[in-house]
Amino acid sequence: MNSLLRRYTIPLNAADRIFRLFKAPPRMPFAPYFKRKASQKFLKVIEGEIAETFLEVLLFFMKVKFMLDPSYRRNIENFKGCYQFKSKDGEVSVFVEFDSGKMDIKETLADEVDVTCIFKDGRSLINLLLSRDRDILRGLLNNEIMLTGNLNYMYKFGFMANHLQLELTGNLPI
Amino acid sequence: MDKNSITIQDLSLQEITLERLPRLKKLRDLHFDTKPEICLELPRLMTYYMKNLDPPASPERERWRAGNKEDSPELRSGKLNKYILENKRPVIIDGNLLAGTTTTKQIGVILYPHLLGQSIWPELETVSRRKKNPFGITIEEIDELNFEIFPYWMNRTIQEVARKENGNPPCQKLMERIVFFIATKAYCISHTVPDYAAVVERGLLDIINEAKEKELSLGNSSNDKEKRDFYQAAQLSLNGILSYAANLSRLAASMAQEENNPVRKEELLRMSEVCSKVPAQKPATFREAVNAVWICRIALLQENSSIAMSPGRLDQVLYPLYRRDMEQGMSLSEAVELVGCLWLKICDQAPLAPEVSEELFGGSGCNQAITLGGIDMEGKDAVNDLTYVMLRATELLKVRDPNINARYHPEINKKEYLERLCDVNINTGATPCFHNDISAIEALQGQGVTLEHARDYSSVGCVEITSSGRTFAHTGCILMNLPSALELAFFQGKHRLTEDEQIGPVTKSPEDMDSFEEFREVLATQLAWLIDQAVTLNNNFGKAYQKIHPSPMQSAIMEGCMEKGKDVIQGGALYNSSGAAMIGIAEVVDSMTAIEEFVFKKKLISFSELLEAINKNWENYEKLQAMVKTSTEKFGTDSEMAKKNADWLIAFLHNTFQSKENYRGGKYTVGYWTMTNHAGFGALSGALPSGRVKGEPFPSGITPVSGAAPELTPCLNFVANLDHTNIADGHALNLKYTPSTTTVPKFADTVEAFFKMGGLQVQFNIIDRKTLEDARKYPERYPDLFVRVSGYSAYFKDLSPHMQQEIITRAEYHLDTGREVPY
Amino acid sequence: MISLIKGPSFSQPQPLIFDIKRNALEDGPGIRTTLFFKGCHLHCIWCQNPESIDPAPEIGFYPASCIKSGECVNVCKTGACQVENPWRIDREKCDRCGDCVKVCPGRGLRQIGCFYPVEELISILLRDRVFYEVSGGGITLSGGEPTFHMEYISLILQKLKMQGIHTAIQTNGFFDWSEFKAKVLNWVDVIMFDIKLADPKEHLKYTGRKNCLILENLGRLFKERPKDIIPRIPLIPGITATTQNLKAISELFQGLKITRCSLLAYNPIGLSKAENIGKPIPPELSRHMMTPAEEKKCREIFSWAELVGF
Repeated sequence: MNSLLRRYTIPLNAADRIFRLFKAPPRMPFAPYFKRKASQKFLKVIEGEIAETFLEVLLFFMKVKFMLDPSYRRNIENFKGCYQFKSKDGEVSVFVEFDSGKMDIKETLADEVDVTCIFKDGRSLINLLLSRDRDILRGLLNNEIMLTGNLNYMYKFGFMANHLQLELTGNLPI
Repeated sequence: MDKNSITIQDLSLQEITLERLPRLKKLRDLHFDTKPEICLELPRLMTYYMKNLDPPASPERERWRAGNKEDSPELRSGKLNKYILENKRPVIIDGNLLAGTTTTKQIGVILYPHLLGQSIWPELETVSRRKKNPFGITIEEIDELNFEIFPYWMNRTIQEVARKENGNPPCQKLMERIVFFIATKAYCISHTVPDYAAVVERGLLDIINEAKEKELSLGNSSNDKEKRDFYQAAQLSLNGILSYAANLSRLAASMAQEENNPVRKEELLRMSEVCSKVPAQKPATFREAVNAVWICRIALLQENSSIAMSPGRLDQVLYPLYRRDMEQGMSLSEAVELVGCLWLKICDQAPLAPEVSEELFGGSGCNQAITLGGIDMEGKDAVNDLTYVMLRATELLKVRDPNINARYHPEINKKEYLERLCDVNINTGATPCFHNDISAIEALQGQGVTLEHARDYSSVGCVEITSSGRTFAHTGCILMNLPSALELAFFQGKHRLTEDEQIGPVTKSPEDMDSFEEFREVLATQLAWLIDQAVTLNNNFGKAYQKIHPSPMQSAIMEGCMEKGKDVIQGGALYNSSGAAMIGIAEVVDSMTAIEEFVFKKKLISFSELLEAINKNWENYEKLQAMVKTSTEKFGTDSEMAKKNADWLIAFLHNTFQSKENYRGGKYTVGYWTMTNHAGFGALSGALPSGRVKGEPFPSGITPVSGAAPELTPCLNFVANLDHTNIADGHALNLKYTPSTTTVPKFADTVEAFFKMGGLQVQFNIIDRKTLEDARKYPERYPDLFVRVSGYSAYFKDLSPHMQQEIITRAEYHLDTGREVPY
Repeated sequence: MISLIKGPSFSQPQPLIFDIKRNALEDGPGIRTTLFFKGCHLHCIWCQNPESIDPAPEIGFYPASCIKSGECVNVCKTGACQVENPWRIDREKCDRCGDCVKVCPGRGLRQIGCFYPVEELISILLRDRVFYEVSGGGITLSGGEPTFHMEYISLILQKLKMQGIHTAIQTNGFFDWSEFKAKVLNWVDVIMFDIKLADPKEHLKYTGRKNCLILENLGRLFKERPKDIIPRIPLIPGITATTQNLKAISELFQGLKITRCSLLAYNPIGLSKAENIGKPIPPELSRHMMTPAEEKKCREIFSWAELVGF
């Protein structure tokens, strides 16, 4: 997780590759394959095989999606919000800033944020953010998440995370 | 003829059936076939207005008002109300005799953007497909909420305004840990009964004129600006209602023009005529009166959340015109039909519930309490023909809302009335609940309510008693998880759920306690601290309302505000208490008693061993657990020790809350009713010295722990002997009977005896365990099975698994033999 | 040897009560509290309360409440308590010392039969006074056989009458008439009088006693207090609920000019109670409730009478 920051500085050609995973033009013969790959990766994470990397993967996917998908970017176009994600053990602290259509991720502790989310592990974050076989009770019982600050910002973030998941798993409402 | 003399021969009105009232049957079927849909009308109008038309944002207005002071919050709310009601779409959607709908949908979920509406945000794209209580919503609507509406309100909700004003105070953070208490104002403030008597006796124009006169009688001095603004706001709001009624009238007329069916055409024309008269003018017929109440209700729900906005004593308010119409030839079945139409209209909306609250606290309706019977302000029997008409409508429809509360005065009301109430309870399985007039009136008088006003009480939301139309009480502003205070007392201010965090004050460790009294003192310290937190947060929220969301419309339909020239949120109403509900009382009393009995009296075990046992969830302490559980010293039995502890706890809570003042200058009262929170809080709480294991639901309301009070009469004695003047926010004693049809008289005797001993309230589910088990397995077979939860009714299929479990295991007595049914 | 009971030693037989049932809705008019006394002159094989026959305290085992702590085995001096025994107690070995009851943590073992000083009992009975007043209910003495303890119930009844409480008694009719008249009759409002079998031989076979005294007492009582007596017939399939027996009883009643009576439907619940105290279940007894058709057939025989039910 220490290399988090490095992983987000994506080389341009990599970004291009990822683009195809998300919004592949219909003409591309391999598009469905790539899209399936991306969702498989995501599913693998949220299904718990590598849950610790959830935050990493989520933010990464989100950022890429913002860069490449204008309709998704609309979510943050006139939006300014600062989020702090911290793991309970102090190992991870990620600061996320949305500002006028841009998403910025830093591996740092910020002074002023709109909302702070302290989580036990990747699984507990999945539980908080994604409305997919959630076990809310367990999350509360295990004291997995603590939110402090303006909860509306967290609700908004929750929507964006859910949307991403629903899209990748082919479950968006019709 | 005597004022309230009963002319109905067959009090149960057996002749009137759904088969003979095809309209009601059809509407009822429609109600159960309809999936609620999220309605965007209100948030859309509010957002548009606030973004574009609210004075501070409009440069034009800015110029016009140059030199003037800014509009007061009241005036801003008044203008907003007017805008909403003028632009609210008039809807005539089904065959109901009443025009207008709370939302634009058949059954709508109102989303109040300033009141936790955003909590549904993360789930917008899944809410229509979730398993429990799905709500319909379209993709366009999702986009509108996500891109247009919610972003505007991110810093403008009551919750966030209060947070910001107070610098994210500890009390608010504490609430967000969920397990200590919930201050509900972030979600609703509407636990109140509007003064519908004024609507029916005067009409809104008369009230508007009063406000205008009051406004004009004020000087121009800036001192009076607040009052002037208030009177203006009241007028604007009421004029909004009149515009909405006029729109309904126009719609009905134009629909009539296009209608080919002559019967329907006639109906629509009549609807149009009625809406052109009321609620502006004083209604002249029963039908007009019912419409007037309905239209005002729609309007009030646009200003404030629908939760527990209770219609009150409709059998009193509507009776004079009912009688007039009966004398003019209205038939009883027409009367039942009209009342049924109102009942079905009242359940045309459902509360918004995101998954987490659905799971923990779900299944609730909107708790629209209607109160029937009892005595009138002079102390005379108030039960009338309309009471029985309303009971019949309730019995026929069996819908969860409105929540029917029956008042009974054991010395003044007739026994045949009580027997009819029992009969309806048996036939519906879950409603009405029973309130004792003698105790309720005493409890209210203890809060400084005059005798006449106390006699005119009605139930709000679940079971909370308030003087009708003159009390702004928010009777459910705090929901407190009492056992969490017990935890803090055990672990020196820490809670097992929040682990190492120091939550409450550091108090003496139980290991060092030499007497039970010492422990009690520590518990008192933690309770007082917790109460202080909850009250502070509620007051913060209240002040946020004062700043951004006063209720001038509600104020105009509430005794006191016009005289004082003050909004209800500023203390304009005649009575201004706040109500806090305590959850888990029996569990706390049983735990205290177990500690007293086993640790200090019999000295069978040390305190630290007992705590060790509950920390291990009784694992390897099964013997101790069995001993504690089978002790006869329990809440709801003859136990003197439990009684002493219950009395102490109830008195302590009452005194502590009473010593606090709310943001409107009123006092806090305490109640013991739990909605579904006992299941939610129970699921989050660990094992307790009462013998309880981790995660079990707490007992509901003021009901004993399931299995701890095996006999009915000791249980009733126990609760009846608690000091009800310390329970001024009402209590719900939930009991369950196995169905039987032959025992109405003994059922009625049981209720009467409970009341004669001083019992405040009692309610029964009359259903056997087998049916409930089956309904849990096959919810689709029981779409309309409704049960009493703790104060209100809910459809069983909508309840969370914990709550279903609680209802199933709730103590059950045979109605025909009186024996407890072993589980 | 009996250390369980409150009060003096057991050598002078003390009136024991094995259950105080509150909120009783079927034992007379209104809402009542019913006292079940231990001790009975008869031992009907179908007895609904098999634990009521023996006047001495007994130890009942309730498997549902047993958490298998093994405490009873540890304290048992005679080796009667056995964990592997599904009935827990070997009744042959048990000397009813009651030590096991005292240590049982979950009330899996319970003492059946407890002595109550009169004042204490009265104060318990008065707790539900408002229920009696509102519903026209009161106290019912049942058993066992309450007249087994004539002195004691006489005291109780007099105290209750002084308090203005409605009283009822359920009796098997096997008592000394003059004693009953002197000590009980004046203080009871309703007498529920059980008639089981018309034929004295059958009566002896199934209850252990002939019915001559019972029938005599019924006649005397009916002469004295005709309005307050409700004769009751327990319907036991194949034993009392035979056409022959019921017809004979019916004739007997008509001969006495009795106008009303009660038929008690059979309930096999007594069978499990027998198991609790280690009594064998007689094979003659049906394990099923009666069908409505069977009940109807019985009722038809008494179509001439007013059938009372609570």
